[in-house]
This record gives sequence, C-alpha cells and structure tokens, in this order.
Amino acid sequence: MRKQKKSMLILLSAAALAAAVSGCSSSSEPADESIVFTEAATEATSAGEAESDSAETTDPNGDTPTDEGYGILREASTSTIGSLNPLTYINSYSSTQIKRSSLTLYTYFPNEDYTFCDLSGELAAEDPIQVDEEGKVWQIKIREGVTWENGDTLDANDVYYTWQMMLDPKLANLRASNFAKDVIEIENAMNYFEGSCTWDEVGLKLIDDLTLEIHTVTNHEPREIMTHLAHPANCIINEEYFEKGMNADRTETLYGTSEEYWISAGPFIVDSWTNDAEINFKKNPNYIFKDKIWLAGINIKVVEDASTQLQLFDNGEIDYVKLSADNFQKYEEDPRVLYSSANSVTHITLNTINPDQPILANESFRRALFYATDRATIADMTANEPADYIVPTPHIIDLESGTAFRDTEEGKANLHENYGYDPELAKELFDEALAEEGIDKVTLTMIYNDVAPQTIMSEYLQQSWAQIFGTDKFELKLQAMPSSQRGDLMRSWGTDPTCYEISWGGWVSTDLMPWNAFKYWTTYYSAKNEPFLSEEFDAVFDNANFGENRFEEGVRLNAVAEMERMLVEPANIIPVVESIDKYLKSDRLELTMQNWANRVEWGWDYAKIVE
Amino acid sequence: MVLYENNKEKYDSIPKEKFVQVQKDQEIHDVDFKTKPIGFFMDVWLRFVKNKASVIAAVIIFILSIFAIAGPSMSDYRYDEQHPELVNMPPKIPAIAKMNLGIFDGAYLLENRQYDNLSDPEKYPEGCVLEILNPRLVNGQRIVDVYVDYYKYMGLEDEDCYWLGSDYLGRDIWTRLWRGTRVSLLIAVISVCCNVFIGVIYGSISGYYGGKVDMVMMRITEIISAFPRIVVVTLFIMVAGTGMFSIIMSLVIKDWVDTARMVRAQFYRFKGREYVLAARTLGVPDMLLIFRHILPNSIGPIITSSMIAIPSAIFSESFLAYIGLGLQAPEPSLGVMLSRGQKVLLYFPSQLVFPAIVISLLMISFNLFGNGLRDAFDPTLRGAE
Repeated sequence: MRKQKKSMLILLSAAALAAAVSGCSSSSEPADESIVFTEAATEATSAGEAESDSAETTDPNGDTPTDEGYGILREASTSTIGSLNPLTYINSYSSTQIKRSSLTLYTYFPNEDYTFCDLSGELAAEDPIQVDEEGKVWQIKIREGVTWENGDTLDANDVYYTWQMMLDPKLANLRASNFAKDVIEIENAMNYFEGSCTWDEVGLKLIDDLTLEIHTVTNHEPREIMTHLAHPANCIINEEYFEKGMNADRTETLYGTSEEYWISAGPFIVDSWTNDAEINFKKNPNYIFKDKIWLAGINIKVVEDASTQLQLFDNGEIDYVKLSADNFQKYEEDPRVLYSSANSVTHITLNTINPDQPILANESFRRALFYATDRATIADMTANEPADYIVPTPHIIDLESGTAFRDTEEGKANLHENYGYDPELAKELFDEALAEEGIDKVTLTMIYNDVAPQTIMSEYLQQSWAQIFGTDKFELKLQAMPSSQRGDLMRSWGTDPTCYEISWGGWVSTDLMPWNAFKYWTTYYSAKNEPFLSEEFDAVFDNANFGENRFEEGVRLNAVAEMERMLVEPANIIPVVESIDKYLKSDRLELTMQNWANRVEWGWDYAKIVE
Repeated sequence: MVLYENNKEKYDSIPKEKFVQVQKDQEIHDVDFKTKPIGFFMDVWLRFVKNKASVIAAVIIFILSIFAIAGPSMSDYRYDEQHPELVNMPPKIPAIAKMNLGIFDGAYLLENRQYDNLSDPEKYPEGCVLEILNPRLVNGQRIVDVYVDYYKYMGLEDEDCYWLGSDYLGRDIWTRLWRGTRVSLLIAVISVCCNVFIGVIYGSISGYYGGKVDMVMMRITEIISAFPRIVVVTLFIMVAGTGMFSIIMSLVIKDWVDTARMVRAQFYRFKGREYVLAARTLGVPDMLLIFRHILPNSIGPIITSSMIAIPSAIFSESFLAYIGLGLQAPEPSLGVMLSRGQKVLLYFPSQLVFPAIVISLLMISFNLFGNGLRDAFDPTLRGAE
C-alpha cells in the first residue's frame, strides 16, 4: 500500500512536470473542412452580440430603471483606492470611485443613442449664465431638492464650502492649483492659496442658496466653464464630515479615508468599504439622474495580480476584466475582446535638474535617448501601440466635426519616420553629448514599477540603449519600487533635485480639449513629475487656453502641435507607447454603450445585468 | 574478600606452588589496539555516510553546484541576451523532441484562434499546426484552439531551441536558471558566513565574560530580534537600494543573532570545565582560551546550524525577490524567476516550474544535509553504532 502511494506520488509529480513542459506530440492535418463548429456556451461575449441576444429574452431590468436598480456589477481592481477625498486624490482610479459616489456641477453622460458623450449639468440646473459682456463673470444655478445620502440638503452652500476648502492655504491640497487654473483661471484663486490675498478677493461668490458666481481672469465660453467644473477634483464635499475628520491645526482631514468619514451623494452610495480590499456601492435612489442607472450596485475587489483577475473572470466571479500584456496573447484573435484607446501616452520622464547627472540637461543626450528607443519592438512586447508623440490618438481637436488631432496635418507633421527609432543618429548624438560634457561614460538609474509593462520596457531599454551607445560608454541601472513610492519620489524633485534620474510617466488628460492636456508640463502645475519649466511653453499653453484669439480657426490646433513639438523635439520627455486597453466582459453584463466613446468609455456604470 | 570467603575451600585447595609473582622479573606493556584510532572528524564522517538521505542530499547539492558553475556556459545564450522576437518560447530539447514523448518538443497551445487564419502561411507556416481542438462559433466566427510547433510557428529552424524555453524578453531560461542558482547560492553562503563570523565573535565574548558584559550584549540581541524582519529588511533595501550587497546585508542584519546565542550557550557549557580552569591557572590569555580551548567544542553545532541556515537564506532571498525587493535586473536569482513565473503560470508554466524544482531541491537537500550533519556531530551518538 505504501509502495503504491509512493508510486502514485512519483507519477503525479511526473505528470505535473510533463504538463509544464509538454505540448502535444500527436499531429493532425489543419484546416480540415469536416470540423464541425457549434455555438459555444462562452462566459464572455462582445457588446453587440450580447445586446441582440438579450433583446429576444425577457429583460429582468424592466423597461426603465427602478429606484433600487437590478443586479450587482462585479469588478476587480489592481489599484487600491486609498482616499476618496477629491481634493487630494492622486491616481485616476481613485477619481473614478470618487465620481461614482459624489456630485459635480457638470458631468459627462452617454448621449441619447449611447454613441458619444454629452457634457451637461449634474448638480447645476443649467449651463452657466453669462453675467457680464466680456464673458468673465458666470452664474451657476443649482438644482433644488438635491440631498446627501443622509437626507441633508445639498445646495450652493456645499459647493461654496468645497471651493473654500479646495483653496485653503493651510490644507494646501494637491488639487488646489488644478482648480485655480486649469481650463479656466479663477480670479485671485492662486493668490489666496499662496496667502497673498483674502478670500473676499477670490472670484468665487455665493449669491444665494441656489446660485453661485465665478469670476475668471479671461473671457470664456460656457463649455469651458462646464469642462473645468466637471473635473473629478471638483466633486462636492460634505462640511459636516470634512470637519469631523479635521485635525486641530486644520492642516489635514480624514475625509474620505474610511466609511466613518465619508458620505455619498452621487449615482451610487458607499455601502461598505474595507480599505485596500473591497468596496461596495449601491444605487442612490435619490440621485438626480437615477433613470440613467440600471445597476443595483457595484462590488469592487482589490486583486493586484492580473492573472488572478482573469481567473476570477473565468470562474464567473467578476463581470469584466482588463487584459494585461501577459494574458492578452491568449485572446489576441478572439472576437469577444473589447478595445479602447487609452487616454494617455506612456513616456520616459527625465529629471533634468539632477545635480548628480548634469548630462540629463544636455539636449543632445536626451535626443540620443529619444532616437535610441525602439518603440515598435516595445509595443509588440507589451501589446500596445508605438508612440513618438504625446497627444493620444482619441484626443479630439474639433468637437463639432469629431476630428482627432492625430488625423490633422499638424498632428501628422509631428510624427517621425520609423516611430523615431534611428540608432545611428542616436549614437551620433550620444557621442556629441559626451564630448560636450567632457565625460567618457554615462551611468543612469531608472526607477520603475515592478509590474509587467514597465518591467518589460525598462529591461528592454537597459540592454538596447547599451547596445546602441556601447556597453563601455553607457549603463542603465534599474530600480523597482511600488507605484505610490515611485510617484512620491518623482514629485519631490522640487525639494530634492537628486530624488530620481529617469523614470516612467503617463498622464490621463482631457481628451476633448487636447490643448488643456498639456497642463501637466506648465510651470504652475502642482504635481509635476519632472522639472520641465519653460516660460515659452507656458505662453503657448496660456494662449491656447486663455488667449483672446483662441477661438479663431487653427489657433488651438497650432498651439497643440507646437506644445507637442516643444516637449518631444528637445526630448524633454520621451514618448514610447500608447496603451490600448482590452477587456473581456461576461454574458450577464450588457453594455448600453454602442461603442467606446471619449469620457464615458464603455460606460460600465450605465450597463445592465441581464442574468 | 567476600569472593574468597565464599569460596574459601576451593581456593585453599590450590597448591601454593602454582602461584608465581609475575612482576618480579617482567615488564608489563600496554597492548596495541587492534582497530585503527578514530578522530573526531573521522567519527563524524563515518556516522554521516551511514545516513543515506544526507548522502543523497549532499550529492544533489554537489550536482546543483556544478550546474550553477558550469550550467550558464553550456548554452549558446548569455543570461542577459534578449531576443524580443522570441519571447515566451516553450521548452525544446531536440534529442527529446525526436523521441516523440510529448515533452520538451516546443509544442504550445494557442487558444481562441480564428480558424480561417490557419490556412494563412504567413501566420501559420507550413507544418506548424499539430492539432486543432475545441472548434466553436463565437459571435458567428469560427474559433479553435490550436496546438502548434511553436518554433515552426515563429519561423525557426528545427535546430534552434531554448532547452527550458525563453522568458518575457526572449532570454534563455536554462542560462538564467543556473545563473540564478549560482546567485542564490552565493547570497546564501556569503550571508551565512557573515552571520557565523559576527555571531561567533559576539557569542564568544558574551558567553566567556558573562556577568554584566553578557547581560548588556544579550539585551542588544533581544532588541535586534524584536524588530519585525520584513520591516527591517524593507527599510534597509529602501535606504541602500536593491542589489546583492543589500540583500546579503539584509539577511545578516538579524540572522547573526541566532548564531551568537548558540555560541554563547556553548561557552557557558564549556567555560567552567577543568581543562579550561587549568589553562587559565597556567596563565593562558583570554583570547587564546576563547578561540583555542573553548570555541572548537562548538564547531559541530556551528557547522550544523550554518547548513540549516543556508536554505533559510535562499528562501529569504527568494521571498525578497518575490515581493519586488530582489536583485537589480537583468541579474537573475531563483526568487526573481519565481516571482515572474508566478505571474504567467497559467500561460507559460515552464517559467515557474523549473526554478521551483531547483529551489525545492536545494531547500530539501540542504535541510537533509543539515540534519545529517547534526546527527553526525552529536557527541552523545559517538560510538553508539
């Protein structure tokens, strides 16, 4: 018996090993016409297919959404939420969750036929009303009868309090500058934040319980005011809960860090929340646009490993999954995959003021890195698109015609042959840079997140750059670290110029206003990754965003092209790839969106559960 | 006397002439042992070789060490040689592939493929498709899973192969595996040597002098022990950066305490013995007493604990690498390879299986080897068999 057990163990071990190393030894002829294809009982299906199928069966959702909604959307996230405080959040994933349970004055909804997005009032009852002739003073009317989760009234007083706290000099919120000057610049907002004027002088006024007034520095169109106020950083905060979490010095608040310090008012209510593990939302029956929400709730589990997420999806435990570069190979020819253009370009960011690496300030050297980067190969390895540009493909320069910047002549003029990969030119520039600096060898350290795309890209560049420049002349050291630590480290360049040398970046930006997406490189952006400080760049940005002639034909188009050139040509940043997000969704999830669209993407929050 | 009293009659009956005084005109010599004299280490060796499991473990360690030294140079690829066009290749050993055993043949299952593409020679070169499985209609399209000869699928010749496959940058896993084993072993051995060096000196001084010196020194070790290991290690690596030096130091920073305690206990055991008192009485200096007369008695437990500490160090290094605090790329270690392999376990299991086998063998072998040494060095077992 004991011998039998041993033999069984050995056999099992051998089988496991064989499974790992084997394929299939038997061979058969391909493309046999006798093969019978039957409809697969698949877990996943494409958007269009699901819609047509489900239309024939009874829809448990009914004809219109109920107050309670139907079905729970189950998601898995690789990111943790950290804080729901809209004034201090860092990553875009947090902003998605904040927006789910908060209100903004204006927001993006799917349009009527679910093919694009519409920007319209959420808490605001209507579009901004122009008060003066110039277009610098605007009034915003608030909807009546809006409440917080606990039934308390939510009106202009809450918005006004949010603005006060956003710009509070003691709290020094990360998003303050974002609010003070972004699509619009609010009069004296930055001055108040920096302590050089009083609150009364700031161009934010409370007229009455349902009316607010904004004074801007330059004239604007209503859509610009709405776009600015639709940013997740402008989600309305609750005074009672915000003050409850405030410390004695009024320099920090616990608002949004746990259920105890959070109150919802958005499309969904936070039902339960275990920090860094799980969050449950339920439909807000009092939400202004509850008729747009079919779901009864959303369950989000934090699952950091992409393979585990895919397993959860295969087991039917989550309703959709984002495919990583590793697991995309399995689905690359699968018709069920949903693609979406990601709203950012992954680029290499350089700390040009690092006193330990003066060569990073050398333009020839930076350009050498630009031309030595084989974007096509990197894109192949990471299942992305090569990018030698900064403005992502879906960014639309003309909203009326829907023209993407990359499709314009100006956008195409910024592209390089072979995606900017030219090893000979790179070597030439590199040697030139060494001669200019009077050094024989460059050793750089790249910090990166220890996750698949950045690991692959960093390790590939480590060798390919060294091969082009010569291993005796160039060495790239790699240092992996968690994402949050890397972000904090990079953003500390202002106080510690030696904090990093080169790393990775990628900003998610306003895809309907590409001229505004360059704010991350203006001198006044508060959370800059790199010390790119250029008055000329600011001037172009300001002209495109606030200039008198910005509405004239071609002004913004040219400004976007010029800002892209100013960043890319001297290689102040080095674009590498544009990510393409890929998803699989389950049969029980029916998307109301007909296609991927800017801002609302696949519209997960507006989807239906049809099981 | 009792014997005589009891047998008085018998003894008295023996004639007196039969008794002779043998020492009167003879010298008495010690008799030579008929067996060979056995020293301490020979005794240890004899007892060690009787333990079959330990001997097998020692052989496995020896073989793995040989591969760790020579393995990387057995393949044509360097450990950091990237082939971006040949990433995640399955294992293939031509000799085994020809035997048609179904292993190491470079076959791979491509899932969810468009059936209509199978006849496209640009996508599927002639002869690469081995078997078509699971035909189905998905969204009206003909979808199949296809077993392919992945090397042909990638347009390679029959001779081209990665014995154990390639990783996410097209690097040879065979070369990286043995290079990683070498690195892991090096880290383990160096860190254990450092631990022994510090621990022996610290423990000797503490144990020999005792009293207040011992009290202070032991409290220091308790403070060091009280810090959570992962916190200390993480902080150390954050400050000093990743790399072999940092990992070795992070393994030394706490682990020497155990050696120090063990040596101290040995000193308490031996320092009161007569031969030590005698030496001290004769004026032998403290350092000589410590290192010449007392410490050699601890050599057995030190060697044993060191051997047992090696797999623990390998495991710690792997753990650090697994949580992203491992060596700087492109240097491999078993932990680094396991960490990456785990992420692609479902798609490319060979990337996890081979480093897992090697680390398992190392761990088991060092533990069995350590156990064998412990038994062999145990003085209470001397001459027991």
